[in-house]
Amino acid sequence: MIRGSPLDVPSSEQEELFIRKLRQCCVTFDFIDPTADLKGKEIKRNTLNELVEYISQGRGVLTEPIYPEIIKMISANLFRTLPPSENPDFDPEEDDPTLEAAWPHLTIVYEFFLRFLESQDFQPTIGKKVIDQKFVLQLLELFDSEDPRERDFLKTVLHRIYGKFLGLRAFIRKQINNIFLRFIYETEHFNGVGELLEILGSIINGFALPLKMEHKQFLIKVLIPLHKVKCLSMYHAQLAYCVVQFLEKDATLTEPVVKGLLKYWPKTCSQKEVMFLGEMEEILDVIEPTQFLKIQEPLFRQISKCVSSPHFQVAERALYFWNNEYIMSLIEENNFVIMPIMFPALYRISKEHWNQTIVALVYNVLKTFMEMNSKLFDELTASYKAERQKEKKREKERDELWKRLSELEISNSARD
Amino acid sequence: MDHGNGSQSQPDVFPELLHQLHELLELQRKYQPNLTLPVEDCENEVTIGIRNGSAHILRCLKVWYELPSDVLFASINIMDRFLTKMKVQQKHIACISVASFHIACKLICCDDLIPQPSDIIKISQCKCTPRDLARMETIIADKIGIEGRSRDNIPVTALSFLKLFDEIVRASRHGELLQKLLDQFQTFQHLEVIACDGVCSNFKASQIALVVFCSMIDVGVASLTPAPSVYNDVVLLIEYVTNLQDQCHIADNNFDDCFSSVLKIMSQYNSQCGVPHRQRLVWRLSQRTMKYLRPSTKLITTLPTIEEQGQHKADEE
Repeated sequence: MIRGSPLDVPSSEQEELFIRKLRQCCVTFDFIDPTADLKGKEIKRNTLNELVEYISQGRGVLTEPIYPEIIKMISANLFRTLPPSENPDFDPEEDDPTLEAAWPHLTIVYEFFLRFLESQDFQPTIGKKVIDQKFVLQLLELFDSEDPRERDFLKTVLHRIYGKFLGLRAFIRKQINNIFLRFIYETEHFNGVGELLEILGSIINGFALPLKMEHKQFLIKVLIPLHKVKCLSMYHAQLAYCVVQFLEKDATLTEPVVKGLLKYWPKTCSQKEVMFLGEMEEILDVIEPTQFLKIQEPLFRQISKCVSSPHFQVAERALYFWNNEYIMSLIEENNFVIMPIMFPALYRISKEHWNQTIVALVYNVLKTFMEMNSKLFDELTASYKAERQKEKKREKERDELWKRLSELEISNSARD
Repeated sequence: MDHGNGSQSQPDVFPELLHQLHELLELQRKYQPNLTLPVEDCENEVTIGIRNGSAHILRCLKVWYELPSDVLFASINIMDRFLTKMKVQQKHIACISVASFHIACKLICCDDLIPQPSDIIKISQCKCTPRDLARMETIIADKIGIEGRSRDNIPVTALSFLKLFDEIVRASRHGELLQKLLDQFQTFQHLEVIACDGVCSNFKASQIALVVFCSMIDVGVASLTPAPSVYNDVVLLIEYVTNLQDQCHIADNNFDDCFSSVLKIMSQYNSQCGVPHRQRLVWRLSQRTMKYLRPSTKLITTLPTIEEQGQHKADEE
């Protein structure tokens, strides 16, 4: 083992020492067996820490020959086949993740990698020779790690790579595209969707206007369908953020987005419905009035269904839209369209719902409608009442018909 | 008055109806409010705008509990008579209006239709306790002279007159035409809208009822495609109604004053703009839902933006 920190060695030998230590750290250790080679592991850990310190301390350490050595060391440590999940029915929402055994080393390697990328001396023109498509592809595969700490590092690493290497950007986007499509349509399994979406959020935020067609396609063909996957709760915050960012960039995307969400609206999962409603409110927060006109009818038909949901959280969340000042102003502007859609459901629930919180919220909405447009409210009340009376009459006629039929039968059988 | 009910099988209801009309005309004085509420906000006193806001709450409660119009008119009348006698602070009006509503329910509805005080308090968000409400009811009943639950306490309001006018005209030979012109439910709704506006409280109940009756006939006539024969009938109907006006001793100038006030309120109603006085409602949610309202509440950090054109510099972080 080479002793001596590169720090106390004259500059001309520093590079050589640096490379030797990097090569040392290419040796990996077995962490599955916690007792194996404790001394070796400790030495490597110290060496890695030395390397981190060395690369952080100053100028002139990133010479051209260093780049491929660094990448070799990183590859040796990071790129591995991820173990299959210990728990085949791993539910990301419920179960604790299986953490990476080799984390004591991996964490320092990741730290080192980041310091390397973020160094003042880092030169993308040299870096691009070794950080190529093959390297990025292997990095992306690691996003499926069950260990959230690893994914967090990877997120930052990939974010920096995307930032510095313009030549890799299209490739990275395409690969993420593929990962998502496979996730949505084939496997419904990938642990790193949230982290990738977080990176995408910062990319979408920086899109130039007018938006390229490729980006718009990505929104419609990938981000919207991402909503239909069962484990949406794992990445919903990041996904919703991306969607809203897109809409802030280009308001004309509102109609396909809203219609897309309505198409994938959850039919059996109430928790998901509540999430969708939360996202919809965030979309409405930024919607332009002209865009609102295009989607108000299908949207409020869905909201009317949500308000009628026997699941109290869904109904509550939908009714709470009326507590949003901006949404209220849009509803008021278009009350002659929206009120007739909402009214029957609201009136019915006021009589039928079991939950008192819901009933109180329904009252609030009805009161608000009455204040907005008394005349329309009165017309709807009158026609609803007339409908109910007609229905009761029909019911009564049906009952009487059955009664007469049964009497007829009796009298016929009496004759026989 | 020539009622022209030449049909032999029809009993002569008119003496009884006219007798009822004269009774109501006598009684209406007893239930006549005389509001002198300020228009502008001053020293925390109840303004006419606040009174109207309360009337709208009562209207909403009436719809909510599916109660007959009579309850609404009685509630508003009780509230207005109390406001006539007492100078009231803004903080009490919510309790007063709900108390008036409950009194009206107890006078008019059968027991199983009367809503529970705790329920009315919760739904209307009037922020008082059932004890406060009961106390307020006693105060109001004392002040305006309501004794017990006798039906004699039920106020004579514009609705009482409107119903009677409607009955009288339907029983006459103009009944068929009236059927075509007026939708009863709609007419009552319009009268409710008038009652919610304090401007009309000080008109006589018979005046408002007649004005609304006439204006609804006007609207009905305007929407008919008049054939020449119908036109004739309309003229006769209007003559008949003018006779009613005489029976009620309503002078033309009083009628006109009331008519222009009612017209103003109706045109605002028909313009379908919102009411000026909105209730500040509380929106209460369950804890579970409050915890996670929006996806962005779960978002902890966002990575720095990467501009589409341009190198991302380390020192920009």
